[in-house]
Amino acid sequence: MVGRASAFADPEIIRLATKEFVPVAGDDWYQRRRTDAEGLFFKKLTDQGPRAGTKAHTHQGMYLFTADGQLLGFKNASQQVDATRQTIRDALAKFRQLPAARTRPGAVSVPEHGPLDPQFARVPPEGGLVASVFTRILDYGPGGYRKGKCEAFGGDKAARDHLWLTADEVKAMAPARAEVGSRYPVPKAVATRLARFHLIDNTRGEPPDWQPDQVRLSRMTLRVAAVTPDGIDLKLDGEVLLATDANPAKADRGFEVRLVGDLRWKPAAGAFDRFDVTAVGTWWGDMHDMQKGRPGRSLLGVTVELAGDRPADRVPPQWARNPAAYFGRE
Amino acid sequence: MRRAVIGGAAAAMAAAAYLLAPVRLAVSAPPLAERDVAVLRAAVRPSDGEDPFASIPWETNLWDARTKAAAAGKPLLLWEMDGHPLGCG
Repeated sequence: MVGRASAFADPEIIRLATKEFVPVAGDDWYQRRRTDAEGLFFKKLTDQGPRAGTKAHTHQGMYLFTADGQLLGFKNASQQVDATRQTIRDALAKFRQLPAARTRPGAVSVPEHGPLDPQFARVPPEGGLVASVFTRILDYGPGGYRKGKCEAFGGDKAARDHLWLTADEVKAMAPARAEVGSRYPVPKAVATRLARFHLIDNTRGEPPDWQPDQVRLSRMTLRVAAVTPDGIDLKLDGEVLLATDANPAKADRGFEVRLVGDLRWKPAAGAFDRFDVTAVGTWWGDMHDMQKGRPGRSLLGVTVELAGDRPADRVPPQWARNPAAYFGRE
Repeated sequence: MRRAVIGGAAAAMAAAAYLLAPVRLAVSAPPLAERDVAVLRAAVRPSDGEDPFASIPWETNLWDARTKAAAAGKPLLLWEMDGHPLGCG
């Protein structure tokens, strides 16, 4: 993340990535494990890199290559902007020296992918809901909530993740009665997923999820606020207490959080066209393998909203690595 | 003397009751009024231009990216991370 923040803020690197290359982002945790066509292609790339033949457990880095799989350049991180830019330029120059029979549009034929790896490929649930989740440290002042400040490099930026709901979970969130004022609880599977996997401080790296018994208190309610030809407006209200100890006063890590939300259910479409959830609370404690956060208790905010339809919106939720836990099938 | 013994026992029972009482769970998070929501969401979400990395039109499916690169006659730039590859800024 540090490297990304440095190198990809450079206008020339952004121009090269956007105009001269097809830019693609991947999660090494999945790709180094996949045994389908994509996994094999990725292995073909990494076998040409400097880590080939080593016992490296990671394949992180920047790879520059042809559509038929020839590695043109590699850099393991991108902290040094000048070196990163030069690596990209050198790879582009190599590409331009290849025969036109391999580089002209349509010269390379990419075969059908074939079956996806059933264990390590992730696609959004069919007929389900995909939402973007943003998380950021906050401060509070005379004007209300504002972006927070901290000493950890990049720790003041918004972290990004996605929330996935299955088609059945979406239906279970719909109101049974279109009657203003009627209330009902957020389905347990959805409330648990939000609490365990999305009320998390992921602003400085990859944090652990909350274990089921660390959800000490969870209450989330939906209320029918209005019924119009446009749909059924719902208000979400909730509070959650997450703590590593049954006695929160003794917990070395915790999050006390309130949630509100504005959702709109479209009965005819059988879908939500608004899914805005906002949470704010006090976070305390640090996490293994991550930069230290702010000392003591500090504010953390989380927002949820329907995702768009860009490829970047299909990145799986961080904790979909463990689909049984994420989808409550344990 | 007897009064002192009774008093001591009562104090011990009270202390035991305190120690054994279930922890009262309550959320003491800051208030979240309707009027705070818009300001709060604006503070949390990435602002325009805040993360230049996000301005790049990233593909996230390697096979789709290969197909597009082959059709366009371009090489590929793969940014590979352990974790959400477009995660934090």
